[in-house]
Amino acid sequence: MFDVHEMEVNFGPQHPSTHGVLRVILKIDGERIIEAKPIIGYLHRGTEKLFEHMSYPQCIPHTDRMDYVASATNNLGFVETVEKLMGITGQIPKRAQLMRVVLSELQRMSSHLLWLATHAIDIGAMTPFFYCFREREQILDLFEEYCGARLTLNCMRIGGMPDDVTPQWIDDVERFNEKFDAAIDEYESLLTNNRIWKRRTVGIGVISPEEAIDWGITGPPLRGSGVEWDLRKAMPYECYPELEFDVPIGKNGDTYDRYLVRMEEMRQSRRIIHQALPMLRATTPGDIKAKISRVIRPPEGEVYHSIESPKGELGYYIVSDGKSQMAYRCHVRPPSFVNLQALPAMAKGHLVSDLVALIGTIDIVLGEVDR
Amino acid sequence: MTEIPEQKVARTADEIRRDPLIAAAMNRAGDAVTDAKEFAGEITLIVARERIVDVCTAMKAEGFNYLVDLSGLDYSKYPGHAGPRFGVSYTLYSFSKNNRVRLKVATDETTAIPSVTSVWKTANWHERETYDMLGIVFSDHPNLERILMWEGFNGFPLRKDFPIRGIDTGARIYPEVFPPGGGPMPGSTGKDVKDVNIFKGEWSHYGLAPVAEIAQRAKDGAQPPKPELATVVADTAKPTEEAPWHNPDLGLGERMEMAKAGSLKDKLFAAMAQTDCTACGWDCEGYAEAIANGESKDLTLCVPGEQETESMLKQLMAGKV
Amino acid sequence: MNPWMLYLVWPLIKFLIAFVIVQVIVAAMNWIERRVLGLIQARLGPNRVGPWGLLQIVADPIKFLLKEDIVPSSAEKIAYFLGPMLPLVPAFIVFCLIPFGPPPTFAVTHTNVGLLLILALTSTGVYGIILGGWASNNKYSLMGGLRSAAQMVSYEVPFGLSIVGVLMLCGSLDLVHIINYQAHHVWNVFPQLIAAFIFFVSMNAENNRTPFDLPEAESELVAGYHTEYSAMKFAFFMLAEYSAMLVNCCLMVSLFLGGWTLAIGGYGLTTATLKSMGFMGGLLGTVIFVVKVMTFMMIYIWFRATFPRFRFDQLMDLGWKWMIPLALINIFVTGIVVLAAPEMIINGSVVPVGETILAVAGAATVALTLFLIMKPRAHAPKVIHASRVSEA
Repeated sequence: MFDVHEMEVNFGPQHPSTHGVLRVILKIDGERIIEAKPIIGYLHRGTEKLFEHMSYPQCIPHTDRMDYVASATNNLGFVETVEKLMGITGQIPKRAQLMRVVLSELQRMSSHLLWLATHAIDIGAMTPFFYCFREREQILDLFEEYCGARLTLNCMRIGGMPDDVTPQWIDDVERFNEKFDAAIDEYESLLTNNRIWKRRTVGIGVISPEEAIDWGITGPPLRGSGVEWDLRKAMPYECYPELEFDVPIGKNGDTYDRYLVRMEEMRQSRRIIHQALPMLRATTPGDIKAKISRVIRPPEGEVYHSIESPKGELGYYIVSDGKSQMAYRCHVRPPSFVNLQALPAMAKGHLVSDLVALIGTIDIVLGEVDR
Repeated sequence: MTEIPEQKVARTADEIRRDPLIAAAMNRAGDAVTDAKEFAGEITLIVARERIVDVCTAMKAEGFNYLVDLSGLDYSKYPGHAGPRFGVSYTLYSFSKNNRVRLKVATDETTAIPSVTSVWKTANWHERETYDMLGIVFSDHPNLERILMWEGFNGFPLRKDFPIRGIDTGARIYPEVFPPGGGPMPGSTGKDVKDVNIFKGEWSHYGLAPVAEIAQRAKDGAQPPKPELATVVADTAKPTEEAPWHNPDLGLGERMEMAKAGSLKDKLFAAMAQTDCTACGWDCEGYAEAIANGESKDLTLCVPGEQETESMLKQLMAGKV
Repeated sequence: MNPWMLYLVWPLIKFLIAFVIVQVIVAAMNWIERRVLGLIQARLGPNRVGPWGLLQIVADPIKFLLKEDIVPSSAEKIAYFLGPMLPLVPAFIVFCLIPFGPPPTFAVTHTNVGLLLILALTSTGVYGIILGGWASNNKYSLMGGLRSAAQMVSYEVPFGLSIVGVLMLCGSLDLVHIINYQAHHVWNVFPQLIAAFIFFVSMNAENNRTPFDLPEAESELVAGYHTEYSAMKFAFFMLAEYSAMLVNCCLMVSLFLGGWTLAIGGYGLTTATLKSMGFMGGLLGTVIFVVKVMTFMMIYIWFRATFPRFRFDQLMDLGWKWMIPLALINIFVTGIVVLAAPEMIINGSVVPVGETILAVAGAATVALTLFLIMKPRAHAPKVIHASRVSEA
């Protein structure tokens, strides 16, 4: 009479809150999740295979398509790895480095804004969605002003940057940057101290620091668990050591802490851009490319290099045979893929409504998970 | 700005082993490490396949508690590579030492690598992906299934012999066209799926025939080929004195050479696949005779002979050979 | 007057007028909701069809009528068809029982158990939702239907209990009497502040509105019980939902905010004053009523723009552990006050002392809350961060 009656529910791949084509097979008892099994691969495009068949510069637009809401950081990771492979990391001009930093921090803001928008609307708060998109639209306009593209930027080159920025653009970024803090205050006034928001996020999907490391979780979810580890500080790249910023960390490793960490990260990104813009103005215009040969043929060897993407550690593992202009093997270590792996552990015992919050808090982009 | 140290005189394997970064771990499980390399400031340790779990456990105990990445690669087209076909690399990170170390293991298509899921939970999906993409097997893995490709996919996309355009798969979706067990339907042209041009009537690739052709066959009274028979090699498929070419093991060129002096029927016979599979409705000799005396006008019925038989038949009937 | 005219024809005509007006309001609510949401959410809302997008009110029904009506092949056909109809019928009938203005002209019928009938009718609406959710043969629909059932059952209780206090004060189930009582004393919202609050929260939950919109939580259950419905059937669900919202707002206004009157202690626009003005007075009363109702409809929209969604167990917690005990305490206190407190005669009129004390306390609470909300802040509140920031 009182036997457990399990129901199996297909959550996705066509579902409003799976952020793409994630599919989760849920075994539920009433609304409580007994087992969650993520199924991925619906967006697999064989990017790694494609990388093996095209020269290094040709790969850069393909990196855009992986984490398509944070393409600048994808570009950055790839070009830096190739630069490391070629041994020219130290030759990148200061101006190009600053441009890379500004672009990737803008990208971090826009990615976090998209995360906040979808996370909030998943939990039922509708208005932050529109507020976030208002600001994100301005960031996309800035990207458009720089490189003509809004989403798939293709905005970095091996050894430097494709085009110089105009003083006008720097002013525009500054104008946006100066009022961005007020915008974050506005989102926080809607959510941070909202009792319903807190009840939906505090204590949901708690993951301890040890477990987080064991699962390979990186980025804001790791920092939300209280591990103070950010690749921009731990293994700095570009000119991050010259810039002052803090790494926010949480205490409890729950959804609410991850929310706070990401909100603070947006503020820190603003702070970084605020410092980088005067430095950018002080550099010589036009000095944006290292003097490297046009044909990129790195020496034989293999490197792994990673950067802090908005989602976590985005790594590229490139093996070059030293003879061709194409990577022999290029493996991508996508943060979303690894972070998503912990979803079953986080979701177990929670309700279906919490699963929605958890998918939001991991901040996955299926283009990156499936590659 | 981290300057990558200039490539000094390359350190020897023994010197790398004594590097303070990994010295402690080497004391624990150094005997399993067969070689060590360094490139661009990154240390790579070559590990014996059976001992990878031991090494990983030792590394984890010495602070490398974060498995950053696990990926495989296919060395089959690597210039000057000797040894097993695949390599699997494990990138480890130590929070306390703030540095990475790479472990590498070599394997081939069949030999399984011990899974490190018992050491790091995160290895689970990484290993599944490596299996999915390269067909590298991991033993003791709790759930070694395909992850990015679908179940029933007939290949390993990141192997170097896998065509970049993809292959013709879909066994689970269209079982009537693609029988379970993998591979294209017997009788399909076996072409790269992107090269099939159905607008030029290359239906046979899918084991299908265009409507017009089927209607014509019905009018001719000829049976359409029965592809399910096409895998059969009949007992009669042996060379005889009159027909030495009646041997399925010979190539088309060889067979045609043997039948060079013969009649049109002999040449047609030699062009067949010689399996006597009866998919066309005759044995090979019967079909050749039927074409020669005009009983059958359809030259596409030889399923196991595929494209080469078809084109040879066409050339013969056009008098070009 | 001919009894046929009195009891059948006039009520029917009045009902039809009320029905048409209500339906127009419901259709307009859709437009208003989208425009107001747009205003709050820094976007435009519908502005293409007609001036300010007003013709959207017409365009939406046309679209619903012309869309393909999809019936899932595995649906339980009869139940599937009944699903959208069932909530619609009681939602319409209820409008017979609500006095929009001074009776008899502006109320369809005048029943002395009107409130009881309204409660009985509105609570049947959930059957259609459960039926529709179950009949769709879709797991999400089923879960939506079940959530809806559990939610409605849970909140029906505090919903009913919160009214008891009002009934004890006014001593009647007749809405007209309750409204007149308020005009001659004080709006019930002051002596029955807790009840008004519970009633308001419960009516949000009853109508599946944010933050209690779990049965149709789009991010969790796709669209809940109406996932599989399209075209006019979907429109029926929407119509029923908005009608039910309107009914609940009417009840709120009638029970706690003095209905069509605008008076305190018998001074101001009481029923008698309005009646003395003739038909125009009645119309004025109706306008006052509609304005009050629309205020509450706006609050619905405001809520929708502001709040995230509760989780199901939290919703149940709130209902059973907070709302019901609070309602019971309210009944207890009201009972003591009504029974034990003496009545005083001031200036020749009887003034119940207990109710006055309650009203003063309620008014003070309302004033304090308003003061705290409106108080100009010297500094914008700094958001407190739980996160520690590293000393890097």
